[in-house]
Amino acid sequence: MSSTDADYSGWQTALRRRFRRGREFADEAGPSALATVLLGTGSLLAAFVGFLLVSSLTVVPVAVFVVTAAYGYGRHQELTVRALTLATTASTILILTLITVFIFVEAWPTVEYASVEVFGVSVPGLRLFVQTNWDAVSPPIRYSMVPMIHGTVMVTVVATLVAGPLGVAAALFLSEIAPPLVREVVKPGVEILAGIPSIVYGFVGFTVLSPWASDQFELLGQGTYLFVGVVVGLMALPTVVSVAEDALNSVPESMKSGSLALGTTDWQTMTSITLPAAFSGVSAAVLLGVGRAIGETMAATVMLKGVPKLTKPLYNAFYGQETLTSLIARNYGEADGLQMSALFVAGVILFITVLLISVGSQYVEARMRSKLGGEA
Amino acid sequence: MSETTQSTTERSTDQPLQTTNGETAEEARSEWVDYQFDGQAKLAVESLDVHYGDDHALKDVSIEIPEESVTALIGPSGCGKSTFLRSLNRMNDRIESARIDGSVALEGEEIYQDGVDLVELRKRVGMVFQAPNPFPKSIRDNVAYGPRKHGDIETGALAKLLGRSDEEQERELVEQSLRQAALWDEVVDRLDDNALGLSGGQQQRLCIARALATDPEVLLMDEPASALDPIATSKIEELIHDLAEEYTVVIVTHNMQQAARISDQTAVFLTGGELVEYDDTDEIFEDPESQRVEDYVSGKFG
Repeated sequence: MSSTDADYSGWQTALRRRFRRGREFADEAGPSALATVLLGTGSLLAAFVGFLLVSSLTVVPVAVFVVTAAYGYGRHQELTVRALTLATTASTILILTLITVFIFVEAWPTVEYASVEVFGVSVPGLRLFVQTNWDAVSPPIRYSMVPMIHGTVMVTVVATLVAGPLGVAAALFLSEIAPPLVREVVKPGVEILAGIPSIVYGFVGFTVLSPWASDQFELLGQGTYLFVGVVVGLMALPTVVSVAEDALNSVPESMKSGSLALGTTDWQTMTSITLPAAFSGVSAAVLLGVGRAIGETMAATVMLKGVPKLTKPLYNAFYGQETLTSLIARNYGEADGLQMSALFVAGVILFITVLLISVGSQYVEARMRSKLGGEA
Repeated sequence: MSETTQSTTERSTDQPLQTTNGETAEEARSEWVDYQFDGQAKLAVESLDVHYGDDHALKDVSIEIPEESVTALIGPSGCGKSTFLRSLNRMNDRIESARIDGSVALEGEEIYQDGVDLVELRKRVGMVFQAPNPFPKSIRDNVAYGPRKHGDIETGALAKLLGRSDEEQERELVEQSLRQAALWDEVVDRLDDNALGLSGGQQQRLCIARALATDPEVLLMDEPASALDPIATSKIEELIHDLAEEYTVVIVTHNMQQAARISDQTAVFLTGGELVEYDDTDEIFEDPESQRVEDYVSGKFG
């Protein structure tokens, strides 16, 4: 390093270092390899631009890219594979980012339409949340997310009440009490249940549970938040059991032995040592179940009435109107313009909610992990 | 976690023990393990056999352990010392493949029979494990865990509400137990910190304090100092020495100097899960009767 380097500020030094490293790389790789990578990158970018412009000429850069990649794989395998894996990672992130941007952009017209002036300041989208009337036909056209948020909350709460306690209790039994033979049979069985498509559960709910419920409780019509919640809860149950069982199983045997050797019962050991030590994993399991309940579409669409209205009173779970997911699934076919945009608003709300839950569960897990000092 | 009780099988005890792979060819003799002592036997083990699946881990062990003393179990790795120790408070029941035959009596009462309350047994026969295994709770909660679960101390919300909280009693018990384990001075200012933040030696002494807090009669220790530095080890050795005034201590150790320093009598297990010799510690280390034991304690094999 020359003495003048000291005069450079931090970022300039970093830039110089980056530049030097790039040049070293270019020197090492040789001109042919470098040309291959540059041509591949260039053609890939061109293909992407062509795709965005919906140009029929896109096929040319795609062809160039494929040929370059094939040539590169033959001649400069190491470098090409590195570049290709980087390209796949980058495009995964890019595609997901574009989808996210797309739903936000599509949701905007309705958000803008539903602006409300508050103290002279226009707050976009506020009317979606402060009034509860959804009327997409007769003017004034009004959209509201409140009934659907309410429906989703109802279903999610019921589903969590079903899947949480049942799932954790079953996981405790499988992990701590069941003889090995039972565990070896039941655990894979439960995991298979997790793979049953949700429409099957929804169908059973619609053909068996809903008629039974409307008969027993003398309801008008079928489809209630309560029983949609029950079905969704049962659907999420295998996931909760499986993930919670893994968490409980990871509690070190030495810790359980330590408790039992002090003369405590199995139940005391489970509740005072094993469950708290596995708390992060068990709560992650329940949150996974909640996430599934929020995002569940088919069961809700099949079973609910599809009327975007609040229930009266609000805690009345014996009505079933609409959830965020079933709103989208039921209406995307005939919706256009502002209404289509309103469906995207529902999508944005779902997206943000599930994102927050996922971040939240990882935060809880990280905190518990640091608290336990790497155990559990 | 099924806890089953094996029936006691009758066996003749005077038949000589079989040796299969001794380094020095010799027959183990039953008089080598026939140790006479004054006073009461706290634990009387008779013809104890333990199998793990097809593995015969402990072969026909008979031994009487005197009360208020330190008994050391020594022998090479895999000779069944830990298995033997775990048989004394039935912790082997937790191992699915374990099969236990024979008899263990605590103050004359058989522990391997139907209707034995394992909780009560383990209250009386406490255990300290090889690796420190504190609970992921505060230091105070670790020590008070046993008494709280036994219902000896009530500090729950309900007890507080009823004005029956035993907080003062708990504080005293925690202090007393931590003092006994020579840990009090080091943790007095941070009783509410997580126990996992302690060093390895401190964690092990905490585990000892935890075991003492339940006021056991017998304390089983499975190489309690194997993961500790010399200073922590000497603290624990002193502690064990003091404990012998009130408790019956049975300790597994790999360290023969340690066994010689702290124990009153020593039992030597050799490969194959058999008890070869059992006598006063001085006798074992200075004038053992078995050639193999002499080789082992003088470091010629093992």
